[in-house]
Amino acid sequence: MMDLNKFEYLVREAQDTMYRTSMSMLKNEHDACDCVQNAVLKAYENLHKLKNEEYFKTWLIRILINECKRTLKNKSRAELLSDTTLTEISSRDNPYLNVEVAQALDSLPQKIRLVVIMFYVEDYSIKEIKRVLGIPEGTVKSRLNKGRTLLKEMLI
Amino acid sequence: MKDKLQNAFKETPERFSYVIDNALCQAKLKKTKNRLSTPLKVVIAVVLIFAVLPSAVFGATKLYGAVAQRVGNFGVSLDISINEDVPRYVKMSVDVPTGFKEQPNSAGLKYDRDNEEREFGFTILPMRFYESVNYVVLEENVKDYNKMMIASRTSYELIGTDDYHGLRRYYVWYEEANVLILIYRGETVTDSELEAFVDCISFEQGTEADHDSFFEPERNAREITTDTGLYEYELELIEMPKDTKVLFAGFNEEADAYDLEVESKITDIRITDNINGIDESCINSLYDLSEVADANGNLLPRTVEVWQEGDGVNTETILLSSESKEQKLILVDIEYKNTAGKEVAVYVPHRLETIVKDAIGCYYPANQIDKYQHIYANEYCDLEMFYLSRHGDSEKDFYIPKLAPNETATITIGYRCIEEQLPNAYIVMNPFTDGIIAPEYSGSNNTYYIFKVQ
Repeated sequence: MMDLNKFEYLVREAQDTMYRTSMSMLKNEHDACDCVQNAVLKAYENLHKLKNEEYFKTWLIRILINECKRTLKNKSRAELLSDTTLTEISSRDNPYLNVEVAQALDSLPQKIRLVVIMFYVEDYSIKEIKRVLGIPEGTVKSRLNKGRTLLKEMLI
Repeated sequence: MKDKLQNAFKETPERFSYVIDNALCQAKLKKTKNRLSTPLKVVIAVVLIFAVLPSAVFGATKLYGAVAQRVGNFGVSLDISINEDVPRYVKMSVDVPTGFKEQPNSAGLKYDRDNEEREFGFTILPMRFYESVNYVVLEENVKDYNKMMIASRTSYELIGTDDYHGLRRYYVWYEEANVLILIYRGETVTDSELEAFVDCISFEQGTEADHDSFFEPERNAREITTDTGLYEYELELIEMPKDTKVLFAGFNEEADAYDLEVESKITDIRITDNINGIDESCINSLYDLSEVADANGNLLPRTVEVWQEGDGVNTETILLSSESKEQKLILVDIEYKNTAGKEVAVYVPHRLETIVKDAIGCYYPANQIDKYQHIYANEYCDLEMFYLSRHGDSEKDFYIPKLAPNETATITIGYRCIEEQLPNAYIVMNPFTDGIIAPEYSGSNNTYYIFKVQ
């Protein structure tokens, strides 16, 4: 099993992805921090279950996404967020630099937004996204296609 | 577009790195441990997840105690913060209040009203915590909770959609012992009697032996994550060759304990599409024969419904599709050998499940079609055993065959499963208490072994 030093190294390597993934889902830095903390601890606790270290980042992000979903569900944030726009949230809770792109991304349904960010921002392959989200490859492609179409309408 | 998107995010703020630092520090303080088993079907499930410890970043302060919050549409979470100064072992005493008496042989856990009717008074489930955890009660019947003080103790009453067999349920936190007691309260019990009962429970320093009556959530927790599915069936399911001899603990009625060894081995698996040739009297009475097979004995199809679960916050569960699917009957012969010198009652630990394995080697229930979108099918195979060959004379033997000392018996169990899921069908072996004795996996006494049907 992976030792703590390697675990620490790989977690730090995934830090930026964890930030962008959790913030794009939760739009709240406090919650995102909680989820990241939980995800790292949970990953460490379950490290013995990871059969192939090559999949560590995929696995960690998968745990994080589940933590974010759990937070959305438990804290009833889904209801709040559906009516929350970027202009209404504080700068600290806004992970985006570019307002135009931010608004375009923000307007995508969450499921599509996540796939788009993973593909375009995090450089995940379709196979990796499939693994992280646990959805069929066809679903990844269709969400990506839908996201691409929507973004093109808004950005180009 | 890619350039635009890649430059759309701010750099990760430094304060975010502190969170990672903090989490890694906490990870260093924890030792990795094996997950315990996942029950295939549970009515009340207990989930233990790591508590979010006070973070240096947010400067949170936590008091010892049990703090409740709702979890989705059905569930209550208790954030347990233990008092580190409590002795390792404590002993519980119940000074039974006037008007009640302990039920004989209840190990001090059940108390009836002291009258002729012996009306239900209280049943208690004391849980001892060794570390701060988030303890979650997930049950469809639990919608909310009421916080209250009972005998000056922080308590929570579970609120459900209907009553729980007429009983009311309370979690009461005994801070001086790090013990949470689930109390079932009988219908006729008054508020003041409840107060008196809570007050009559006390703790003192004890020995390891005094701990027998405590349920230990940390060690006995069976994790399900119905909202994420992430850990379902992970690792605890070990695929074994069909002819593996497995030694497990059988029930010793005389000693009221699972302390007799029984050996089991799958000797044959047959797949058929009709019920001709099997003893109809051995079909589980839960199933209506007219809905099982046609006049020629051919199995009738199963209606598979696909549902999307609501998010627990805004959306309701909706039916996506309903389809009729052909099914087969899987008959499995299992040899059970009583290797002990006493009669043993064998709770048949084998059942059928449809399971899939994902790319990173995790197992999931096959009917969990898209766990992240919460899309699932109702069932691909029977939840309750469809067929169990008779062994012995009594009715009870339908469920628990009794084996005489050193007796070997071959029992046939049967489950129906939709034909297209046969490649995912596994016999799951789950000896439900003391578990598998040999071949043992990782020292865990909660390992499930699975055997592929095809």
